Amino acid sequence: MAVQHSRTAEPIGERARTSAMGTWGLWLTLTVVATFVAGLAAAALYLHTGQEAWPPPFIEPPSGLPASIAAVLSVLGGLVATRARSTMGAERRRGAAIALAGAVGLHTAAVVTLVAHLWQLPFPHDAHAYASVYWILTGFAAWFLGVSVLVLVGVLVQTLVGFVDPDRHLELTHAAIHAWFAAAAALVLLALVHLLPATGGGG
Amino acid sequence: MSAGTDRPSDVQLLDHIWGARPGFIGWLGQCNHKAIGRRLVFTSFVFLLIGGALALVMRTQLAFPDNDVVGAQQFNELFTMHGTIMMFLFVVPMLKGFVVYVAPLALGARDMPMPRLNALGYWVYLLGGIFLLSSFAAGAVPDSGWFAYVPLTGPDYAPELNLDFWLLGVTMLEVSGIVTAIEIVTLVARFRAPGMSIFRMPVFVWSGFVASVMILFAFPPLVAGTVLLELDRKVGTVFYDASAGGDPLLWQHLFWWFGHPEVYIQLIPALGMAAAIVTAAAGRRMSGRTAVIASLVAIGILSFGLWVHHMYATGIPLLATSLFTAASFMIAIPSGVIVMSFIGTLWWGRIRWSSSVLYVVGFVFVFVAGGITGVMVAMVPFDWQVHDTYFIVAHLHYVLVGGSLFPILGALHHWMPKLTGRIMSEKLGGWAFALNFLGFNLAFFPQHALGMFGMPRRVWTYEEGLGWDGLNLLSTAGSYVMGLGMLIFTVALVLAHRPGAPTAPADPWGGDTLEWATGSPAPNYNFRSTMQVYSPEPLWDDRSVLGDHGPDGPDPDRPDWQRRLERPETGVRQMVATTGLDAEPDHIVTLPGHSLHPLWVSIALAVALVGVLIDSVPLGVFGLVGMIASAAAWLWPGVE
Repeated sequence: MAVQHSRTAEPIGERARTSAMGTWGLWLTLTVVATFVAGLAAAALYLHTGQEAWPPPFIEPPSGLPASIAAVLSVLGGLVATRARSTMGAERRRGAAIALAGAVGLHTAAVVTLVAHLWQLPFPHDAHAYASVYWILTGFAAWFLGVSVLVLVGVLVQTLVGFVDPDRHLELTHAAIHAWFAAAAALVLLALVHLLPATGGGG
Repeated sequence: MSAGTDRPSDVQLLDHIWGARPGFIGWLGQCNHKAIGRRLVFTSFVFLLIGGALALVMRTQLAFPDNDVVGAQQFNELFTMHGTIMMFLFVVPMLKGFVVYVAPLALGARDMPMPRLNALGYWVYLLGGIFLLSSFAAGAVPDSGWFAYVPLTGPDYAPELNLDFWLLGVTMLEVSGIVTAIEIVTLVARFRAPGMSIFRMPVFVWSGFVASVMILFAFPPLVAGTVLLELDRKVGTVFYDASAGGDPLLWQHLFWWFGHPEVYIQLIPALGMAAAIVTAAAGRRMSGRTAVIASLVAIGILSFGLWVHHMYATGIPLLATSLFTAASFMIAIPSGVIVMSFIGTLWWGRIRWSSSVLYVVGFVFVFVAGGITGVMVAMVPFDWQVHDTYFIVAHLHYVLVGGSLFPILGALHHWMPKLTGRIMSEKLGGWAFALNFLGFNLAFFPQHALGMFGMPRRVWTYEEGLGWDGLNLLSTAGSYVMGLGMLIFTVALVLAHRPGAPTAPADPWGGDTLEWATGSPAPNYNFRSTMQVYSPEPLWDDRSVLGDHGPDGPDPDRPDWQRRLERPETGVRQMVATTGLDAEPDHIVTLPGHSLHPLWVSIALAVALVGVLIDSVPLGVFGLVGMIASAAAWLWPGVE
């Protein structure tokens, strides 16, 4: 990822051929978090496949609408964050800040949607392993999007005070990548909760 | 080899820029790889002594039948904390400490690529260790074994705080391991000296790189497992509760997905240490060097396909166990290649015997014995017979003491000159090795027989007349002999650092890699000039340019960026980053030199986890907000 947009790297030749240190750190961190998500996903699949009925007969699966809305909002957040990055690249700092604020709003709305959905669930988290999986995977989807909100807010503030500008905006690039990662993680977790086929006698 | 002479003003400038700030705050804020590496090495050595002391208490209890030195509960706590300390607080941090200290030097770099992340790894490790050990003061010591199997560790059977200390403390240590692994992978990818292509990299650095990549994929699933278990305990979810649709075996899968690679994460860097010692001692290139590197990578990959061999007794379908048996057999092949390469290197070289070489020879004997018993327990019918017996205790200690502890002790002798500028006594080193080798085999070889005679592991006492008395007494005697060996080793370590003790030369062993091209201990800036490497043994070839050394003076045609790095008028820490495979100079990186942010983030993390531990939502939220605030300050642009 463009070394020339980093404030701590200076190409030796006309153009650096490799990524900045921070970009390596970002991708490796995302690898770790993706492995963590894979661990959660494996746990959910393991419990799902080990049960005769999923969900159990006494639990009615809730509507998938809130999760669908959150999924759409999270993807839109990624798109708008990418737009912020390209706007900054086109030397329009104010436009980039507005787009960043939009991405913050979209991911915040996704978090609020998921938390409100959990608040209204008709079953407690300890009713069954299905309920625990539902609560915790949805909760982690909201968590990842919440972290994305914090990252985007941080870069937005740096943009507003002038630290991030058209010449030095590697932070914005990283924030956009992270926004997409958070959206992808949320999609995977929500898909595990809502899209796996029901088995046995459950609803 | 060609090179240049020092201009004192350049060296003084570099020394000032790369040195620590004065005072206690300066000490706290150090991020340089040498400070962090030394802290990891010496802190983990203290934890080794603590874990060893707990082992001696256990062996004292088991010396005689019906003994009552400690009770059953205390014994449970002892074996849990012994295993936890050795696995999480000693071996991995010690190996990481060596990689963090030595690898940048061996690559010709001036520091790690993200020094503040490096410091974060240490502070989280230290606070995680304190958090775990504070369970002794709180009277809630973890007591369910180092692998914390459910349902024994679930809310029904372990309702007190004991397991919360374990789960939260281990999570901190996992975070520490992960951030350091990220740092090491980036180091290897970007901070190699110009010309040090990927296959010219020292075997020790390869080993650290492979283990770090493994950590990225092995540790997060355990974090997921511990988070789910802590949620079961604190929030009331039922992931591991079979009566509510959960499954206790889920924990075993998540744990051993981490746990088996963890064994190789502890082995592979130790193999790299042994390779460095053997090469320097034999004075020749490692026999089958490429095959050794390929074998390290192969072990790293295969180790992820073995976790079920810890679960043969859980009712896994026979076909699955057969596949895991085959995978377990396969890993003996690259392990054998590495051992044969070590033997070949010593066989064809002219050995300069030293304490570190003795430990490598001890490693070969002990590790091969542990590997053979590993092949035995990879066979399902045999495993069913000895599962959870002392045979397994003997096997795992032969692998881990032979495969990790002995190379670490050898590495402490080998790299102590570079770490502190002092050299450990060879006489005391020889005695310590003899006692450690003899004591270890006395302590653990009889345990194979004890296991075959049916003595289960983790029992706090046994009745007289079961045929276990003499072997247990022998084992305890051996553990005391080994304890004496470790005491002498510690005395040698302390004496080497007494005021007025002899200082070490830059290259006491005639080493082949770049860390021996600079002073002992390495100066603040590591190397004044940029290296140019033309072989895997740059100190032994006659082409590599080693900066400060040689009579020819600086190359008058060197590019401007090299001159700027030699004399950094800007007053900031800078070094060259190179391309991934061929290590061609690519860009100049500016690094931070002092920061307290990693310490604040670590403290905030510890506060948040204490909040979880004592069910205090305000404290947990306070810690979380503190983490966010510290991280925001950390990421604010500008180099400190």
